[in-house]
Amino acid sequence: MRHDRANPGSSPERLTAFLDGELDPAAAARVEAWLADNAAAAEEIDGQRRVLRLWQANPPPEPGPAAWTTVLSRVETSLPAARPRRRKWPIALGLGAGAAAAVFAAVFLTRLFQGGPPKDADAPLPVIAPGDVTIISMDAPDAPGLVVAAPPVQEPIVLAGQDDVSVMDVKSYRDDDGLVPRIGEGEVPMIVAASMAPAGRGP
Amino acid sequence: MSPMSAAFVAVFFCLPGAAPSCDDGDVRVSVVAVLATDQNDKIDPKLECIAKEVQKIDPKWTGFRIAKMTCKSLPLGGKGEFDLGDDQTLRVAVEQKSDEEGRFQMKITPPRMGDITYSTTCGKFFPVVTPFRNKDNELLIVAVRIQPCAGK
Repeated sequence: MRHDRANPGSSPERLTAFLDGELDPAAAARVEAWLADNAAAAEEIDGQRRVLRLWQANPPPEPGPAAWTTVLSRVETSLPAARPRRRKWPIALGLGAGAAAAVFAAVFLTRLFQGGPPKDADAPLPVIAPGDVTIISMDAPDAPGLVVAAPPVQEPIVLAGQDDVSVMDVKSYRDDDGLVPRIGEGEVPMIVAASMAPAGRGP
Repeated sequence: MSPMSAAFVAVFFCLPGAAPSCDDGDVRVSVVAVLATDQNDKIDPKLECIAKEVQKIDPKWTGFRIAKMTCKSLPLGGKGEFDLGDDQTLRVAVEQKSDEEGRFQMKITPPRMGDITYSTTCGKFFPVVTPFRNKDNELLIVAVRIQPCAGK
């Protein structure tokens, strides 16, 4: 079929749509006008219409179940020996094992990055170094229980003399109602012995 | 999970260094109760370091075994009580975080002892020999470790 490329009404797609009755009335009218001026095309379209009607009136028979069974048996006999079918449970088992491994790995890595336990369960528990612990206060009788640390006061207790201390100020505390001296500058021993001035008199 | 993997995970979480879940602001306190004896020379491999240090101050203790191990998460400023076995407990308070080198200030009260306040770095055990002895005349030693939960 020769088509006029300048006329969009003559394209094969449009003619096919015309034959199938899918064009709107205006488009169908344009195709009919074009066919009126192209006798060869109109004759071909008529032939197509006859084939279409014949096809619709005499549809080819579908193969029945028996035909399908025969074909299937022929296919099976022509194939080499079938491989045994894989059972499904190993796949499920593999998926389960994979999920378990993922959970285990997540737990292990989390512990690892949190600075968790030693890798070796029998690894000795690390003991702190003497320099890494400082005893701030404790009962003196408990000092022998310290293994790696030293009690807060280890040096001999030396009393300060009067010449070692100068009393700068004395304030009275409401609760104690006592006199507490503030120690002067310089190196000061832990225990201070200072002469107490009578109450009401400054140094 | 295979039985072997499950067993490994169980052991993993029960080790004294294992980390129970805790918030970032919390600290993880591990306490190990050790019993020392002069009746044998069996030393639990995990206690080799502690045994060595204890023997420096008193060589007569030749056998060391773990009686209890406990791990708890405590908030800063929180207190906890750790079972040591033989109806003895160790009270632990995480008092504050020191400014220097990420140290923590702790207060512990071992059996038959007064409070011991100390500052410590994280990750290693601080052992204390208590005066307590059990019915088999084994000496109770406690070891305390602190670790930040955030893995810092």
